[in-house]
Amino acid sequence: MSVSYTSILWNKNKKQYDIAIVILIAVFMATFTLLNVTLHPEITFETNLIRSFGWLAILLLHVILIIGPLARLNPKFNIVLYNRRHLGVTMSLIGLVHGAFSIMQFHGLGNMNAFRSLFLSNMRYDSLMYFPFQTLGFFGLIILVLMAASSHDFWLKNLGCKTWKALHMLVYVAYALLVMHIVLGGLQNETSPVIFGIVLLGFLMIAGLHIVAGLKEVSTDRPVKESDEFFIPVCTVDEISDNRAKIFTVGDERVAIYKYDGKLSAINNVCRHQGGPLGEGKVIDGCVTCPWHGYQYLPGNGQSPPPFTEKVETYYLKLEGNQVLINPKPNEPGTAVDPVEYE
Amino acid sequence: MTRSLRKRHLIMWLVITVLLTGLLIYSRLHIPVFHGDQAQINRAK
Repeated sequence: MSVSYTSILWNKNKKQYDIAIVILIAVFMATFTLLNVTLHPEITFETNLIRSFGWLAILLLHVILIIGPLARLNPKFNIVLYNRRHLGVTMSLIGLVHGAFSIMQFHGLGNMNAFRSLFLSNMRYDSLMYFPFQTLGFFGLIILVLMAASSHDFWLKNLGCKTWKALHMLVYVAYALLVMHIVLGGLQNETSPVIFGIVLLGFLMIAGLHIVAGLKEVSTDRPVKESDEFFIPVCTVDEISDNRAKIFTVGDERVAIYKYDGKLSAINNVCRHQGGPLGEGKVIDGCVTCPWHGYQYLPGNGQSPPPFTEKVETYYLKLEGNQVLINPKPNEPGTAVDPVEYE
Repeated sequence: MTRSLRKRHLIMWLVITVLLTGLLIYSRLHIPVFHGDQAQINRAK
């Protein structure tokens, strides 16, 4: 959280995260280059670079795409989700190096403009075997570069959460384009089934995890039993851990009921920053803290502490013995609601 | 994530899975290098 924009709000966790990214890249580049030189001594230095950067970019894209569903299946993975945007920007830059080298190597040495050559030198869109796979990679890369360029909170604020999220959901389209780019391109010259197997395994892992996580979310989205009563029972006080929340689907959206300092409060579960699950966060220094990027809200009124301005909806609660009941009608974002005290 | 975004997310993944699975199966069956038909590869060259 920040009042003004700075390029990167460095902290210890982000630095450790970035060091891990650099180590991952260095290990991959050293191993891949060594393997390539040993197994394919005939290829040139430029081709080696194109292949190394290309495979590194697709490996990082796989890592990025499994972080989301892993964090939804197990909140322990939130720690890798925290600084995922640095991983995304790094992956886009590596993809850009792969794209730039490829265009220079395969299209930059003739009479025709390199970009015209990219689109016009092969027009066999009717053939899978000779499909112009480079155009697929080009459009996939454009999406990744646009995402990297708009990854800063400045763009999130100015584009609005909905537009920004829609733009960043295009990563799945980019992934599909890039898998097709590999299958119809690089794999065409690969007679060994190993690489095809790795690509297939990567795809099955990503698609499988997303679908499993999505189905788990659908089952969580079953609303608590509605009744004609003004307040509906959701759980007992003992079911909620101290300084933590329990999440319920009430009406159309999820609500997080927090237990802290002998009190209970309920707020909307969706963080205003990037839609993180507030109910999976802790109460730290009296504030509900989003597990994704640390945005904070006061549980009593759903407002970020001053000078921040984010607000979420609040809900009325009441206690009947040990039973917690909630009024499913949300209050306007930022409405103060007296917390319910329990014995 | 909001409920509608979660739904779109799941639908998008189901669509991508179907499309890419189709492509991978088709390429395994029809693109010579994937099913090892060296004679057809040589003819194409």
